[in-house]
Amino acid sequence: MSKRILMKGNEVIAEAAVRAGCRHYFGYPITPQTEIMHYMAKRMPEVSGTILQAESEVAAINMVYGAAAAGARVMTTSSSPGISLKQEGFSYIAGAELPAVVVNIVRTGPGLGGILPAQGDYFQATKGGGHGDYRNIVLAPASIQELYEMTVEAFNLADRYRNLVLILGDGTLGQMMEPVTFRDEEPIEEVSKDWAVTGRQGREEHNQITSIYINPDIMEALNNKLQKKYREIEKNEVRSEVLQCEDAEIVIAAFGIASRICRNVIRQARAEGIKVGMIRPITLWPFPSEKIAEIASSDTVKAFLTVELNAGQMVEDVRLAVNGRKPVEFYGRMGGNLPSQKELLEKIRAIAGR
Amino acid sequence: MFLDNNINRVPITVIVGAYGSGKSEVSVNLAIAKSGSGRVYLADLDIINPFYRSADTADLLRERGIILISSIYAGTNVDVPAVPGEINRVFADQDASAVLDIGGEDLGARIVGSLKPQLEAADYQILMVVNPFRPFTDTAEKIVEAARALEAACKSKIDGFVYNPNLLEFSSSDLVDEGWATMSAAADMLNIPIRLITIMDEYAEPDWTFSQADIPVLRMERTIFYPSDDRV
Repeated sequence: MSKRILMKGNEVIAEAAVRAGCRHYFGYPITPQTEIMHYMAKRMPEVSGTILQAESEVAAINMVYGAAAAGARVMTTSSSPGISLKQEGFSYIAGAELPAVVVNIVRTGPGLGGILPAQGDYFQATKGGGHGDYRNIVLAPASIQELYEMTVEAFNLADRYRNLVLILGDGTLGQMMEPVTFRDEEPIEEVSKDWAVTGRQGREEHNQITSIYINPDIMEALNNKLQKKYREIEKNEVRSEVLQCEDAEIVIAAFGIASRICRNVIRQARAEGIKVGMIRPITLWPFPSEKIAEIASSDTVKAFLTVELNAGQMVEDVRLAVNGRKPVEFYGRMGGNLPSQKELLEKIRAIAGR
Repeated sequence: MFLDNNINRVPITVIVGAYGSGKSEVSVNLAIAKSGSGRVYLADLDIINPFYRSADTADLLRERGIILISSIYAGTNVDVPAVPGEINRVFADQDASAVLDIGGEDLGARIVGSLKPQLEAADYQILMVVNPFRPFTDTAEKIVEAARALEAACKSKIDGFVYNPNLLEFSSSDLVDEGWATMSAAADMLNIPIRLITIMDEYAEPDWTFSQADIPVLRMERTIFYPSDDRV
């Protein structure tokens, strides 16, 4: 292990990508994630990589498509309105089965919204955004160290499944600083990319990357193949953290920065004698439904409380997983505001009947 | 008193530094330390970073009788690199002292260049905050490079360093020793003095003194918080 260094979330994403072998970055600046690009502008030349400020987010995601089709490890990053612009590209990347890493440092919306943190892009991230039947793997880190490790992992997952991996952060995670320890060597998975468009290379026919098939049966076969892959990902890649649920009467469900705030609230509630635990989805798709169902089946658990920086999005997936076994309450803040530990504690007291 | 040295002799202290070097915490704490003696201004002139800036401490500054000057856009939902016109109050008020918290990197420091006529008419010093536990200032060579870029943007020489070794909860008085070789080598290469050492009060033993050089130490209080910090 190397020594500790103090880094911003946005900086660590860029550093992690370079360490993971990403040598192509295409982006367009937008607060609160522009530091990623700023860092890349300094760092990429040191490793003979390419950083390019595209003319728009649409151009950047299509550059990602191109580089991924040629077999490169490639990344683009943006924030909410910019990610909306990239949705068509997401769908094309899904159809062409290209490995790519995209980071969304979410800001408040809808519309132009504002630069302050939010989690209002949960639906867009986990349920589509673009057209057609496709899925992105969605990772939700909650600390700067995790942001580093998950960015490296995102490149491995993307290559392993030939799939887009979306890292869903928020303005706070992007802007806050925490100490990070880097590994001496990154666990980079080498996969064969014999499908990449790299010229004939002695093959009978040249490789093709496309998402258009004019024969409906072939188009359906591609869709079936995609669905089979998504089931495989659901089987293998669900990640979550379960915190103090053994004796919990109230279980918080929260991801990313909201889960960080809840950690302290759990400690405070327990000091008052209210037994609170937490399930923190680390992958938002595939969603840890089974784990939540298992916790909901426990006799000790009386209620769930989902905490999000939105009007209630993940809470729908929590309710589906709980499946009526227990009541699922919701607490959210919007507009760039974060729930304070004090107001969350009051909500918990109310649920506990204190 | 730590400010008995010449930091306090000059009325306007301009704080520059690399991104995330601790400029805002140092600026707020310097203003607090000065606040015992006469009228003190803290000017948040960060045109780079919309989050976690010295204007966030408005309530605390008011409590301590420090006059905050900041952009009307600080802490809002827009990212407008605006310079508050009210900054001219600082230059007009000749009996007061002021700390100017400047945005990160050479981009942020351009504002110093643009204020140069007003600064030169007053008496000012430029201090660069360095945290050798941050990327891009973790070697003496990189600190030198960063200092030169800042001087070019400020159109002025840097008068001194504020040595701010910080790893948040992993900070300690040992960390001050650990980063010292890097900091002092950069200072020697540039022939710029280290004028102040800063450390969060909670991370240094009450009786701790720095043994490697005779430089004043400012024990700081935490003034800028993250939503996940351990407090309600």
